[in-house]
Amino acid sequence: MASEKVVQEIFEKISNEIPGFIAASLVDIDSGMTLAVKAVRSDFDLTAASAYNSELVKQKMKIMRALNLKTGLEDMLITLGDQIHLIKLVGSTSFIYLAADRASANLGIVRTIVGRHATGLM
Amino acid sequence: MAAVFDGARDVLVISVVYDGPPEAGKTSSLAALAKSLGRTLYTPEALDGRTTYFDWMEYTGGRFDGSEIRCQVVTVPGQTIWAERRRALLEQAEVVVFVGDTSLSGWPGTLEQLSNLRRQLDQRSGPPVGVVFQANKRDLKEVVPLASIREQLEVLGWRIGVVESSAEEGWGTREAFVFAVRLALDRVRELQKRGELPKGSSTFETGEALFAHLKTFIEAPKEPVFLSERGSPAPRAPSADVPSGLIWPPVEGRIILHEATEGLSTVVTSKGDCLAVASKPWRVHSRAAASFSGVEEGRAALISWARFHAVHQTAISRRRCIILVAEDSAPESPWRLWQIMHAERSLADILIESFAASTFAAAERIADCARLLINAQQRLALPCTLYTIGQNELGDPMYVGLMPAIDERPLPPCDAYAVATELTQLIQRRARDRSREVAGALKNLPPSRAAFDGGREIFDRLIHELER
Repeated sequence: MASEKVVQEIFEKISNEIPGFIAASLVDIDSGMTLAVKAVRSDFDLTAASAYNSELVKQKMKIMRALNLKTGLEDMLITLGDQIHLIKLVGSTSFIYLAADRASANLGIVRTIVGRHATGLM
Repeated sequence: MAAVFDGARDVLVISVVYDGPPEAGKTSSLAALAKSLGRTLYTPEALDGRTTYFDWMEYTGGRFDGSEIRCQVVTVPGQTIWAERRRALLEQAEVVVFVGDTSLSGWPGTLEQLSNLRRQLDQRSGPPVGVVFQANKRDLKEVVPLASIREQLEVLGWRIGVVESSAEEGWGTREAFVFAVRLALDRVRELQKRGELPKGSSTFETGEALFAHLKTFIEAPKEPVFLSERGSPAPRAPSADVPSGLIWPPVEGRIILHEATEGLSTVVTSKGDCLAVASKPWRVHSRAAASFSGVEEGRAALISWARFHAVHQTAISRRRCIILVAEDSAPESPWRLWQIMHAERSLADILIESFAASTFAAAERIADCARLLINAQQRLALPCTLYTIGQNELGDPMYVGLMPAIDERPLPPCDAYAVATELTQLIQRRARDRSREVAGALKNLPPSRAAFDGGREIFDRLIHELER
């Protein structure tokens, strides 16, 4: 796992490269606690969102086990009315959670940029 | 502070304790973590920048089986003289973050404290308590290489995660904390599986409540306490809604009641005295014999005792009140007389704190305290000991103990021999390994330091006992 300093630098880059960036966090799957956060909007409760999304990831993993799927979970894309949420798995114990404004951001670009920087977090 | 599931608020409360040798960076780590998480630190007492009780931070985040996780995070004091406080805090830990000083000079002390931790954790019951090793001070030039740290830990039988950090520069502390929470949840799951996860509200809701507990039950002379006497409920503790006429002094007493009586519960000691654990540094006490069959009898006792307080007003600490409280809600309930006082530093506290400083400074404090105690004995008709006497703003002795009953005879005038004995016992209990050093420092003090009644005799006796 990259150091805290490196994670913060990566989040800075992501926030600069993604139009409509709202917030991002690196989240521990098991506890739902955030290892690093970056938000440009103070009204976005990143702590709560990260915690709830860890439950989502755990449920998804449970479903995969129940279906006996012999593959790994890479990412989850969620489209809301005015936001895009991306959950990108980083290793087996954490994930990046990112929210962006749907009007400004492009799903493909978000996925590509986060995917590129996620390797720096391993 | 131990793990508990609060069903009413749907939250799991866990305790994360930061241990480590003195000056390894426990407080700095918690300060960095608090800053990172947007929280504030509560430190009830510190001396020259060093923690004497604990640092406390609360953080709610994450999810456990759909419930929020509320982390109560405390650091322990690292110095040997606070060993009892450290032990009390570690007993509550769900997980320990061991902050190791990985500088070349600090490493031996780190390994020693780690052994100490193992001995402590081995005595814990239930599932094993997880430990995260936070290898701190990685910003320094001369540090133990990471590979060597891992190797040495393994050789010592520690199969634990290692997280590098620099609390000074503010990195690595969050990672260590999250890792620790993960381990704590493992323990909680095990407790759940065994049906041993307590349910209800947390033992200490705030850092202030923990501080009051440590001061009341860890620092106070040891005697068995129990919550009720032969099945009967303990007397009701004082509360802020006591009617007028049953508090003295009427105005200041009412203010004290509002501050001191939040969330009190009574415990009864084996002697029958009543103590109430307060949420702030207050002492709330009632003697076994301070129970009266009716309110009028109780009120007469309150008035007499108020006069007793007034007579000694210039010699006792200021923030005090006395209050009459019905022991229960029955119409024929007896009434109990309580005293509430703000805990002030005693001479014993001053001395214990001085042991953390240089030996010469400790010797100077010993000389000061001896003089103040003899002075107090000569001036005050109250029981004067290192624990009941403190110092006011003018540097004069001040009575900071519980007020005795009117008919309770004060201790007989304390001679130099008795003062020397009390000092010797305290030094040997709190700084045994430095007794000879202290004796040497006392010998080197200027003769003027012993220029008070019985001073020379106290010094000679103290030096003799400490050198044995």
